[in-house]
Amino acid sequence: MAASEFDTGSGPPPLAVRGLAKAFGRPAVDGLDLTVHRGELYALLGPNGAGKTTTLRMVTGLLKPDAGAIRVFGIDALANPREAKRRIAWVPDEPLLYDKLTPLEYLEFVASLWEVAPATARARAEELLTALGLWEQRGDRCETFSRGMKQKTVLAGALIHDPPLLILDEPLTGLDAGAARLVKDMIEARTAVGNTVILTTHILEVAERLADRIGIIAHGRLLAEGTFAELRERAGEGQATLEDVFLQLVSDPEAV
Amino acid sequence: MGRSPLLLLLRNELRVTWRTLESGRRGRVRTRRRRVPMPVLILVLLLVIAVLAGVPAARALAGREIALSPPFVVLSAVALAAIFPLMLSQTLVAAVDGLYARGDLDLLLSSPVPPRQVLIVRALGMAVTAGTLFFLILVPFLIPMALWGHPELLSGFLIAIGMALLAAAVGLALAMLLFRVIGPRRTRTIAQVVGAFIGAAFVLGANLPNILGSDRAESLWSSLARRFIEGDTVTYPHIVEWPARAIVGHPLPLLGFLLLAVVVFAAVTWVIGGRFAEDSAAASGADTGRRRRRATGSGSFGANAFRAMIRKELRLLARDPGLLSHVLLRVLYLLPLAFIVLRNASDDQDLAVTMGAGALAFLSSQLAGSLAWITVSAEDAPALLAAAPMPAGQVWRAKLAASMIPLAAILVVPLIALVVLAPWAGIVAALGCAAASLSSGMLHIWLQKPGNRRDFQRRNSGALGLTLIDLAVGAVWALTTGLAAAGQLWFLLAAAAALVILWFARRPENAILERIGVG
Repeated sequence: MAASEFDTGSGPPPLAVRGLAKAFGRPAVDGLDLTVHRGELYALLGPNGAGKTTTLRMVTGLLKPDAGAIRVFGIDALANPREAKRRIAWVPDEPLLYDKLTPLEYLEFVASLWEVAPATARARAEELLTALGLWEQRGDRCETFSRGMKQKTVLAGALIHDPPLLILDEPLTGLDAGAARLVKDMIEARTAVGNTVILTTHILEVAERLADRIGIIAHGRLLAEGTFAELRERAGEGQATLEDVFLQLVSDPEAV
Repeated sequence: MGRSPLLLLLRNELRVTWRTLESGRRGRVRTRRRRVPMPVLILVLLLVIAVLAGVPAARALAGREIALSPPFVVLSAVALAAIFPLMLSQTLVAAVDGLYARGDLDLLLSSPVPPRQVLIVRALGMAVTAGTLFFLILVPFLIPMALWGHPELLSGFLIAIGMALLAAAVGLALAMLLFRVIGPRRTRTIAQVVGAFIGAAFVLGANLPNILGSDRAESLWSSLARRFIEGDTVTYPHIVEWPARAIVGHPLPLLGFLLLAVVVFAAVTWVIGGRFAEDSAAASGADTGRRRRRATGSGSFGANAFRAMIRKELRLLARDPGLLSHVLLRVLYLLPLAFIVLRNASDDQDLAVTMGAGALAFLSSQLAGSLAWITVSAEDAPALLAAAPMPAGQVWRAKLAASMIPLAAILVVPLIALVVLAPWAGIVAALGCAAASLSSGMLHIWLQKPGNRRDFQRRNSGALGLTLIDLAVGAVWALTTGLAAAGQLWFLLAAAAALVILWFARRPENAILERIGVG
């Protein structure tokens, strides 16, 4: 798939977050600053309850922040959410879709929401379903699908409008090894043509292998950010894997 | 195993059934602590009903002999004939759900407990579920009556138990019959539809004269009432007396009925028990079966998001016959009313037409509320819609439009007929139906609470405010319609009242988004 129609060249970054805050009784996200560059695969890591999903839900317009600013390709996502949403696709960790629709119908429906021309939508749907191994099941209702198949359908739905910024929350949950490999290849292919991907994952090897930059978040704050090599350097000698670095940073943030 | 497995299973089944009744959702454990325990609430409610209605009725009956008069005999038979289909519709759906949906079946059937015992316990659980409501309704009446000199009426409890057993057995047999005849894949859907029709069977049956047409358009109820008031001699076969005799505790009919219920229950569970394990295995296999649809749907949603949303909602509605049958059940109740209104309109009977127009407006508001709940509150993928570049207001307007389309399709024929037969009443009824339906739809947008389509029948639990306001607005629009149809200017006041309620119920978009967890 070629670079998106929203290709902004070297323009504003796909995502710039400043002073983002959200509290549910206690702070879930606490003054977060984050910038993700064009063509980058950015992995947001953190322990359970660190504020990863809350951050991403605010970026995608699903949750209103208490404070802060979000810019998507330079567009103020809080003032002009519709324009920001046109450039984003969001894949939640729970694959919620319409059980009574077929995957082909689901993709066509999602394409309609993003106002993709029917002919283009159909061609992309075929391409995506084929790539994800679901073309044979295009006429089956989603209610008959396994969790992995649903996850792949939702991913295809996110890609149907060729978003320049793809946000994935735990995209590999429930996928078998083959499907996980397929998804990882698709993610890499998107960034290779200049699109941007942000993902959260608990599988640290995935972040280590795929991510251009990694942000580590805990208690709603960004503890550290950089390439894997930079993080390893910052965490000190002897930290061989991202898992080592992650555990060290999360357990001892003052050391960063 | 120290204790009898049957008793162990029964205890577990009753516990699960109780928690289901308590939480309004099968198997869900309530985590929020109630201030007042459910049994205490039920007891208080029963006491209030007993004091307000049961005791006065018992005192009125005290010292009198309960004669087997024709009205009592006929009403007893009719009441039992009305209650049984309601119980049966419950047990049929429960029987099918029990086969497909209960996650513990695999555990139970993989245990050393014989499948027949599992089935017996499951059937008893169904009987308890179906019979509890009717049993509880009887308590505040029959106990005071027993205390005030009519202990024989306690046999009403035995009749409720017998009917519940009978309904469980027949429901189970019907479910298995459907399973055998149409196969595991379609049984669930068909059973839901059949259950809905059985539930409405009595209402439809009683109104057959209205629907089929006769010289005097009366329901069974009005026909009986008129004949009793006019002193007609009502003749009936001797067997019709048996329900009344059983109710007043005559031993032979009472024991005969109980014996029949127990024998039918035992026979059904014995015959079906042997096949239960294999049928439930087939059901669980069928649930994951593939259902192929037409795979050529290029551009079927178009590139317009608003229209795509409407099409999506209509498609989802059309593909859920079980859900649709529950919604359309209200239309079945509406049918006799429509016939009454149309017949009386053709006979130029003003009062009936006026009242009928108001009732049509009320029922259309209820139907609109059901459809709007499905399209607005029971959204399967709320995160997708929230992330889409479509303003929330536009999404809701599309969903409201989608909920109005089936309603309009249902109402258009009777309303056109009414306009032809009684133009003023017809136009007023059409306007009243439109106002009532739109109001109900908007209330479901303003006061929406995310839910799941599977919880359609329990949608009102936890949304008491919406339910009450919806009922109130529907009733006020019905009054408005009736008054306008009668040419009374008071309709303006009623309409203003409806608008005032709507004004106060109105919520801004941000507040709605916050309420449903977006924003």
